[in-house]
Amino acid sequence: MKETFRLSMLWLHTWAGVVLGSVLFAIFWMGSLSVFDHEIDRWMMPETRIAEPPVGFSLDTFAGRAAEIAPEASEWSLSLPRERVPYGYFSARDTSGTSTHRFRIDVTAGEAIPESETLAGTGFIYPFHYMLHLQWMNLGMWIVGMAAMAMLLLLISGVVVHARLFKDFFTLRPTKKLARSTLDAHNLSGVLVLPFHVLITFSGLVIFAFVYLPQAPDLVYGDSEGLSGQFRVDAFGFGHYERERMGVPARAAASLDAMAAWATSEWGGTAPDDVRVYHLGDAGGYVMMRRGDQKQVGFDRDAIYLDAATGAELDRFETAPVMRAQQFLLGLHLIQFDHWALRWLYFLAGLSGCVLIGTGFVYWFEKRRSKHAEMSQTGLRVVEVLTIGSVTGIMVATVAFFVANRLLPSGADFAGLDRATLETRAFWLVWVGTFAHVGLRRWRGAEMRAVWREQTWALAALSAVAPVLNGVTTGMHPLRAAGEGQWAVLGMDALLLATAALAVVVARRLGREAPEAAPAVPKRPSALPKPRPAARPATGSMPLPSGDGAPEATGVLGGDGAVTGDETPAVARPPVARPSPEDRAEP
Amino acid sequence: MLLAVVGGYLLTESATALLAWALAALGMARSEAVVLGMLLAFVLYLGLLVWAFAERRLARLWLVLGVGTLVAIGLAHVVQGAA
Repeated sequence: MKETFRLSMLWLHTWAGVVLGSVLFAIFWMGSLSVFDHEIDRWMMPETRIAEPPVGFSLDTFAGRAAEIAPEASEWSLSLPRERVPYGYFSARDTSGTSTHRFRIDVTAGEAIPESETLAGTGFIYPFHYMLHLQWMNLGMWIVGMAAMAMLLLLISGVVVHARLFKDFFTLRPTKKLARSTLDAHNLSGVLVLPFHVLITFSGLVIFAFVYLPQAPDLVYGDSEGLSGQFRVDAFGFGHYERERMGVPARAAASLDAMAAWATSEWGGTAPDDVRVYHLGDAGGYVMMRRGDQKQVGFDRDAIYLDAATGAELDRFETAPVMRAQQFLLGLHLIQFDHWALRWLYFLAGLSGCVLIGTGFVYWFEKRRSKHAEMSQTGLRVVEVLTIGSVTGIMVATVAFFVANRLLPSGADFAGLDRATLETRAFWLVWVGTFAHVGLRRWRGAEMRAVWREQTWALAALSAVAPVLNGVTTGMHPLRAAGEGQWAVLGMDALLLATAALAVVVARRLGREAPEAAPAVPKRPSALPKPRPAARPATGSMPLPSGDGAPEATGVLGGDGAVTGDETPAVARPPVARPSPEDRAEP
Repeated sequence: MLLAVVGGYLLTESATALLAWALAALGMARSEAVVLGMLLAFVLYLGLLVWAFAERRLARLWLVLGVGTLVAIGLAHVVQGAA
C-alpha cells in the first residue's frame, strides 16, 4: 500500500488503533477486572460471603443431603467449591429429563444459597470482556474477535514501526513535551509487556475459535452438527461413556468418598472437582468424576467413570495431545488455577494494556494538533468523545455499577426491570452519560484537560463512596472483613480506595497549568490529601492501584513516570542523553 | 482494506477446514485434526493480513485472496461430496 513496509505498517498502526482503540480499551479493562471476577462477586453478592468449606468435606454426607433437596432426581451434579469460590454448584434432573437449574449451594450445610440479585463479576464484567453484551448473532463475539486480530496486527506493526525498540525500552521522559512523554509511555507499556499482550490476545482468539471458524468440524466429521456432534465427545469427553437404566433397583451403593480418593490417587494427587451421579437407585447407576484443574495451567480435565454400586472403574477419558495444547492456551488466558502472584501480574499486565491503548490515543491527538488538524474538526471531535468516554468513561461507569449494587434495595423493581437489570442499566446509562458529557463540554468550549479532569474527579468520588457503602449496607467494614478472612471483600475495598486516591492525584495534576509547568519530579500520593473514608490508607495495598488510573494519567499529563514506573522498575532511568528526540514519521 | 479483512478471513476459514480434513485423512484423530487446524488458522490469518496491508499491487492481492478462496471453497465442496 505504501512505499515501504515500515510506512505501510505505520499507516495500519494508526488507523487500526484509532478505529478499534475504544473497543480494545473496553476489552482490556473488563478483562483486567475479570482476573478478579470471583472477588468482585464476593463484594457484590454479600450472601455468598460464607466460610470456606472445611478440609474434611464428605461427598457421602452431601449425597444424603442431595436426596433431600432433590428427592425426585435420577441424576445430580455437583461442582465442588474451590479456593476462590467457597460454594458449590448443584443441579439435578429427574427421569423425565426435567432439570432444575444450576444453583449455588453451601456444601457443608447442604443448603442452597439465596439467589443473588446481581450479575456481578462473573455475570456481567466477565461476559462484557468477550462479547460486549451484544448477543444478537454473536455480534459481540465477532467484534471482540476482530479487535483481537487488530490487536495482534497493532503489536506487529508497532514493533515494525519502532526502529529503536531496545533503546526506548529504557527511556521515559516524563517531563518532556506531552507528545514525547506519551510516546515513551506508549512504547514502554507496549514493549515491556509485549509477550503478555501477544499471548493473551492469541489465546483469547483460540478460546472462541469454534465460533470464528465453524466449518472445520463439519467438514472433518461430515455432518452439520458443529460442536454438538461427535466432535464434542472426542474433544472434550462429554458423554464419553454412557449406559442405560437397567430398570432394576440398585442392590448397593459404593462410597463416593472412596471413589474420589481412588480417582485422586490415579491422578497423582489431584482430586476431582466435579462429580456427577447418573441413574440414582438403579442397578445401571454410575458416577463420573472430573479431575480438578486448580493445580495445572491447562483446562483439560480427564474423567473417570465408575460403577455406582461397586465403585469399579468402567471407563476413562483422557484429553488428546493437540487438545491438551489447546486447553493449555485456554488455561493461560483464563487463569482459573491457584496462583496469587501470577493473578496480580495478570491484572497489572492487563491494565498496562489499558495504558498502552490510552496513551496511543493521546499521542495521536497531539500529533494531529501539532499538524493543525489536517482532518476535519468534526472527525477530531468524534475521536475526542470516543477517547475520553472509552477511557475514563468506562472506569466511571464500572464504579457506578458497584455503587448501584450497594444502593439498590433487595427486591428493587422499577419499570418492570429487576434489580440485576437495574444495576447493569446504571452502568450503561452512566457510560453513555460520560460520552455525552465530553461532547457537551467540548461543544461549549471546554478544554480537553478540563473534561478529563471532571471525569477523573467523578471516578475519585464514586470509588471513595463505594467502600463506605459496602461497610454501611453489609456491615462488613475492612476490619471485620480482615477478622473473618474475607480477603476478597477487603481487597476490593482497598482497591477502590486506592483508585480514589490515585484519581485525586491525577485530577489535581490535571488542574494545574500547561504540562511544561509540571514539577520535574512527580509528586507521590503521600503528599496529597487522603480520600474521605479514612478506613484504611489506600497506599497500604499492592502496587496495582497505579495502573488503575494510569491511562488518564499518562494520557493527559506529561509527567507520569511515577505511575507507570510503579509496575516497571526498569523504567526509572532518567532521560537519556538525547536532547531533542526526533519524533516518529508522521502517520 | 475490506478485501484484506474479509478476503483473508474467507480464505483462512476454508483453508483451515481443508487442512483439518487433510490431517484427518492422513490418519490423525478427527477431533485432533480439527483443533490443530484451528490453532494454525490464526497464524495464517495474521500472516495474510500483514501481507495484504503491505502489498502494493492490488491486482496480486485480488488474485491470491480471491482465487485462493474460490479454490479452497471448491475443494471443500468436493471433499464434502465425497464424504
